[in-house]
Amino acid sequence: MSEKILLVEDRPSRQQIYSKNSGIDLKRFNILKNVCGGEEFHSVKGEITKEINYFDKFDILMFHRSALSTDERTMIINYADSNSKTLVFFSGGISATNIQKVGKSQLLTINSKDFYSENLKLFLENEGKEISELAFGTNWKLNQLTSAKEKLTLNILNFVNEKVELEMILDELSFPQWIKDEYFNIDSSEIDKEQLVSINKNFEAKIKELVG
Amino acid sequence: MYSIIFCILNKYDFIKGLINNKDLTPSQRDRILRLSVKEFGEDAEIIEDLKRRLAAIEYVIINKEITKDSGITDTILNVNIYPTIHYPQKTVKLLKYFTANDKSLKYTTHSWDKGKFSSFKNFLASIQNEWKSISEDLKKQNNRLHAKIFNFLFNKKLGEKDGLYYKSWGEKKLKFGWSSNELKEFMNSGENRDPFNCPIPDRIKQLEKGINLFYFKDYIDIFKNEIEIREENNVLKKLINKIKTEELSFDFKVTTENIEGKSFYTDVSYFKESLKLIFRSFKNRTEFPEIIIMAKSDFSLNFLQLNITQKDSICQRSIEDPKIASPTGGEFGDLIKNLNGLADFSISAKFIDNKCYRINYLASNENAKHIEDVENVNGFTYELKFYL
Repeated sequence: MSEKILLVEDRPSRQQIYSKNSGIDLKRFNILKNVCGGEEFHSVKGEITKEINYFDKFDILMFHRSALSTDERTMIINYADSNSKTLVFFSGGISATNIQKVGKSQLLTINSKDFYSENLKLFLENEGKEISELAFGTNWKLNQLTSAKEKLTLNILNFVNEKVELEMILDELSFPQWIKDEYFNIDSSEIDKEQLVSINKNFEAKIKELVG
Repeated sequence: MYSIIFCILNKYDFIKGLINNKDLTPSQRDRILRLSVKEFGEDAEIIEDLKRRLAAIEYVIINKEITKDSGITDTILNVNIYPTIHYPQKTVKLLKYFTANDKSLKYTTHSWDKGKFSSFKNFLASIQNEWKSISEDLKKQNNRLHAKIFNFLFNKKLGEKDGLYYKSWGEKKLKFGWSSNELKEFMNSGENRDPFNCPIPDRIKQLEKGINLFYFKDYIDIFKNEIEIREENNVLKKLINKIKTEELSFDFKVTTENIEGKSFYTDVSYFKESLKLIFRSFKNRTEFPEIIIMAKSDFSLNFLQLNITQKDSICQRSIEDPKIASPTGGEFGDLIKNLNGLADFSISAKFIDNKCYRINYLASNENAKHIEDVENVNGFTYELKFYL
């Protein structure tokens, strides 16, 4: 099996400690190219500015955020967008897990501790098919729905306008794409409070179903 | 110039004398006030001109050496103060201390690996040393940004009263930081304490009712987002949406292009204030309801440019009008002040002579011209250039 997931880390000791704590042996995954410190790290990082097509062979690119400069980060984000790649930035400076759509790509931002967790093992065992597994684990759907329900409830409580632009509220609440597609598939570009309450009820029903 | 000021002051004293006259009836006093407003209104243009000329003099005196006998000549009065040359790249370089692996300052915003520092005292000493090496430079670059960072890192009296106000940092006026006593106590209360998990003391929570932050990590998170627009969570787009809701009515339509996933260092509060000023200026011209915000990156020159355009709107002034070409106050003056040391700032538009120009107010390129001809523009555009 070819390496379709790239992991680029500049701090080998951190990777070693976190992987040990989570019981992950990164070497056993043929699907993963693990570039961890040393000359290879500098060489792969250098490809962002030198020859970005180097990354064509991978579907999923995972970088330590602080290992890249702001312009290198912007370049790799632009590249991921143009080439429909999934991109992951992990860092001790990221406080919350978030998946967002950037053009044609998906960007997951996640704290380093959460990144090197059992979810990484699960994600690699399932050949990197579902990025939400890396972000939220086995129960990712339930996790995201619960979080979405909490955000929407707060928004409904503070709702003052007659109507709001649909795009604006979706941006504000940062829902994952699948939730936008499944629950906010309405014809109008605006949405009112009553519709939001109804969607929130649908969230609740699905959560109950998933919990069983 | 002085005779004009003298004349205005004389008018002021004369009117003050009239109003203080106890024999006046309320309606006579009202009439004097109305006439005074009219009189001073006619002086507004003169005052604006004086302000511009004064700014030019200050510029020459502060930025260039003048000999004893140089005096204030017409040549000096005609000096144009724009573009002001500044160095936003330097601010960015200093803010990068908060992500560099070899800096302890990084760990004021990044979670600690176990055993990273031998003691909290050593950590504070280490960031103090690093701060010393950048503090003066950052202060020169942007005083307010410097004060915010200093208070977050080193102010031991956050949450204590300083005259009428509490000592605090940042936009939300937060009152807990790295040098707060309770954090020190928490760190010394056991082995391998994680500062990010320090609970916020009740005395601070009492002062910050409505903010609802419970752990120091929540404060750190806010700080990080005050010095950098971060790609995670679509911060730039959310910020634009929020300001649009606050400043513009439903009659306006804001479209964004290529702004997702963008990150750059800046003083985010100043950036927000600038966006508000720009949006407010659009509000004055409701006949042009289409606003386009577009980001473009230049990796050879390492910048991200944000163009904010009111489509089809043209500038109703002449390119020679000092209010637009060499502003000293108003909305442009505030924007220039806000963005100094943070981002290059220009506008481009079609003017009343039907030609398109760019006016550069803040530039990091020393060869930048004040006014340049541009080929075409699709509306009145504010151009902000952030360095990466």
